[in-house]
Parts: sequence; C-alpha cells; structure tokens
Amino acid sequence: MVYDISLPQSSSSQVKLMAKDMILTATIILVFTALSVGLWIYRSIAVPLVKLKKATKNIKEGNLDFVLEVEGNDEFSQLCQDFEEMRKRLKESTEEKILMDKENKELISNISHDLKTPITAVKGYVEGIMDGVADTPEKMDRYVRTIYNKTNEMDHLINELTFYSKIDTNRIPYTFSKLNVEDYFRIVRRSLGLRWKTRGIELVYANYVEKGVQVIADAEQIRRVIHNIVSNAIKYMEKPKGIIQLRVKDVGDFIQVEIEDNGKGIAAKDLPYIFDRFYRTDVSRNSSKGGSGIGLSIVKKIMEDHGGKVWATSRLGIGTIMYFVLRKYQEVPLNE
Amino acid sequence: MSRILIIEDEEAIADLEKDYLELSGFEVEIENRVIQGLYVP
Repeated sequence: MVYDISLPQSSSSQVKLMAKDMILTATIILVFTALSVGLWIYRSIAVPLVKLKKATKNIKEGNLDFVLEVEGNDEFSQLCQDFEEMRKRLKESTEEKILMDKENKELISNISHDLKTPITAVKGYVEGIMDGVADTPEKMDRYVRTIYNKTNEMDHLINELTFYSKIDTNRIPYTFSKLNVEDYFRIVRRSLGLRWKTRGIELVYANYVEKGVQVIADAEQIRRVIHNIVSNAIKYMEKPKGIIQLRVKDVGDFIQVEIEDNGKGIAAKDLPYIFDRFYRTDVSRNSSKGGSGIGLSIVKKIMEDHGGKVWATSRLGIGTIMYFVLRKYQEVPLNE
Repeated sequence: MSRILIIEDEEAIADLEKDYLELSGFEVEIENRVIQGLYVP
C-alpha cells in the first residue's frame, strides 16, 4: 500500500480507500485467527472426543480388542490415556474370568467322573449279587470286598474334596508355632517309616540342618504336605524295591526339604501342571491308582499359606524329586 | 465256545463283566489297554 499524503486535494477519497484496505486486512486476520483457533479446538477436543465416543461404544458392545491411540499431553490426551488403561484392565480381568470359568467346568467334570466311577462299580456288584452271579462263597466274598473298597474310595475322595474346599476358601485356621527342624523331621520320619515299612519301601532320611534351627509353621499341615507327597510317590512306584529319600537342607534364609523317589517319573509336558487342581497325568482318569489329583493341590495351597513354595523335577523312568522351602525363624531381625 | 475280549481300564468293572459273561457260557479275556488288547491271540 502506498499512501500519498502530499496531495491534500484528494484526501477524502484516499481516507476512504485506506479505511477499506484496513477493514479488508482486519477481516483477513480475523478469519485466519478464527480458522486456526477452530482447527486447534477441533484437533485437541473434537478428535479425541470422537475417538473416546467410538471406544466407549466398543466397550459397551463388549469388544475390548482395540487400541485407543493418543498423542499429546493435554487434559484430553490424559483422559484418553486413562481410558486406554481402563480398557487394558478390563480386558485382563475378562480373560482371567474366562480362564477361571473353564477351569471350574473342568473341575466339575473331573469330580463327577471320579465319583461316578466307584459308584458304577458298587451298583454293578450289588446288581451282580441280586442276579445271583456271585454263586460261590469265594465270589460272594470278592463282591462284598469290592463294594467295601469302592465305597471307601468314595469316602476318601469326598473327605479330600471337603478338606480342599475348606482350605481353598481359608476356612482352615493355621496354628503357626516355632518348630525345631531337627526334632520335627525326626518325628515325621518315624511316623512315615512305620507306615510304609510293610509295603517294602525303604525310607532314607538325612538332615543337613544345624541343631537349634527353627521354622515358623503349622506342624500338622506340614505333616500333611509330606504325607501327601510321599503317598503320591508310593502310588506311582513301579519298581520292586522302592526307595524314598527325605532330605532336609539349609539354604540360607530357608530350609529346603527334598523328597526323592525312584518311581516312574513325570513327563516334562505334565510337570508344570502337577500342582494344579485335580490334574492327573493319566487323561482317562483311571482310578486303579486311587488318585484324585487333589493331594498335590492341597500341598501347594498349604505351602503358599506358609509363604513358602513347592516345585518338582523329574526324569521319566528314574524318579521324581519334590522340593519345598520354609522360611527360617530369626531370633533377631537381620537389619538391626 | 465263543470268546469275548473285554478292554476296560476299570479293573472292578471288567471282572464283573467277566463273571456275567462266563455265566452265559462265554470264554472271556480281559485287557485294560487297547494296545494290549490288539495282541491277544
């Protein structure tokens, strides 16, 4: 723009022209500002809002498999980030729930199968007696004995189930006390030894823990842990000469108990699941071994409640070693 | 006499079936695994 002020005679028309120019410029600036502010508002509010709306709709319809992308660091972006976090949590808990439902269904089907099998035998043998199939005293004796054994099996299974459901819902109160490791395991070993001597199984016991070391534990429940592990070892012992070794070791802040057998071992594919509820390596769940798969689940639960853990290593045909650890009782806290 | 092979993993059930079938005049063999059942002469 050129403003010639040396020509006063045409000033009024020039002022007009100038005003026109100024209005035009102002309008252009105004429009431009409005556009950029609008664009900024649109980008920072409307876009995330649309995204959020879409995401909300997805979640409402139960679809959690999407990602809410966010950029920037203003309040809206943060809201979007929180929303994305919420979606992730929701997805995790949904997946967990599906898995638990599946486990529970399997559990019910396993329990039904395990209870159904002995009851089928009992029913069959009673019918056999009624039909007169047990026509000799020997046969009759065998029939009655089978019925007795099968009812015992069911009784045992139901007892285990009851105990498991009680311990799983924390209805078994623990009575923790200080146990002297050396004395405690010597007593446990004696009771185990007496029990299985008759079955031709040798129990070897070795204690590597110094005198006076103590643990905080529930004596009765730890006995149950050892009992369940040893019964399991004996159940799957196929060798004529069974040897079970019970070792108690000192591993720093913990004492480690190892129970080694020379049984048939556990396949690597089954090993991670043996402590799962009612897991049986034998898919047909044949009950000739009398196992329900509850024993080791109880072991795991008790050890978890003791703040310890339990695991196993195994080699097929050679044997299995079960380990569990218990924290040592410290007279004086370490960092004092 | 006809022979019957029972393949059943539940021992008690297999024994019972055997008793019933023997009373009806069959000769009965028991195996608890299919793979073993295949090799019964």
